[in-house]
Amino acid sequence: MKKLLIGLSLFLLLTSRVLAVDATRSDRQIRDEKKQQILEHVNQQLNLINDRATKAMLKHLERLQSLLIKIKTRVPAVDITVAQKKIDEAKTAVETQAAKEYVIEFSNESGLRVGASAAKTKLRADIKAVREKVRLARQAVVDVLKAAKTL
Amino acid sequence: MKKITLLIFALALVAGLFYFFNQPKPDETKTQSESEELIAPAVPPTVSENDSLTTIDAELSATELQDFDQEIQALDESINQL
Repeated sequence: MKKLLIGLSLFLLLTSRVLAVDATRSDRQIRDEKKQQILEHVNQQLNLINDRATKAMLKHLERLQSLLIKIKTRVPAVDITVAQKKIDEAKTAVETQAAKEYVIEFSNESGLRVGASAAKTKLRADIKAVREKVRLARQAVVDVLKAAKTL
Repeated sequence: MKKITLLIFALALVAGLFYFFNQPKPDETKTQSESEELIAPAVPPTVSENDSLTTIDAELSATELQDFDQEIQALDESINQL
């Protein structure tokens, strides 16, 4: 009986949430069809760029990982702990970024541009932050290589 | 006349025997060349540690992360139409 009540409560909770989202969307309908299309395009592009950027960064990190292993194989005495940590951190940050979804928020038609611009600025800042982590990971691998040359 | 013939024959025999004993035997030749090979074996072409690191260095320099900033900024054109 308890299970049935819990299940029913969860069902009602989820249903009410879906209905609420639908209501918000209908409130935010745009009359201008052209603007609607542009908005959809910008929203799509934001997520597309995020997808491409994160995929490129992951590929880059995989390459760095492979080079780090190569260095360790050639010079086993070299310490790769810091570089490995930086790569792992960057990978986690990129994966978190890849899971993000960018939605343009607005209350009325006049706020479309502001909402779109805010979403774009957010994506730009997020990508920049993750990119910096990848750059630091690369620098750590460069440092390992320099150290390996001296051994 | 007989003596001269015998002398020539004897000289030819001595010369022949001398030549025969001074020739290296086929087995000896083979052993000699083999031993030479054992003494000076060919050095296999191996990559030195520095060469490998140089290669890795080149590979690392070649890794360049694509910049998506321009693409993001290009969205301004569409955003301004809103």
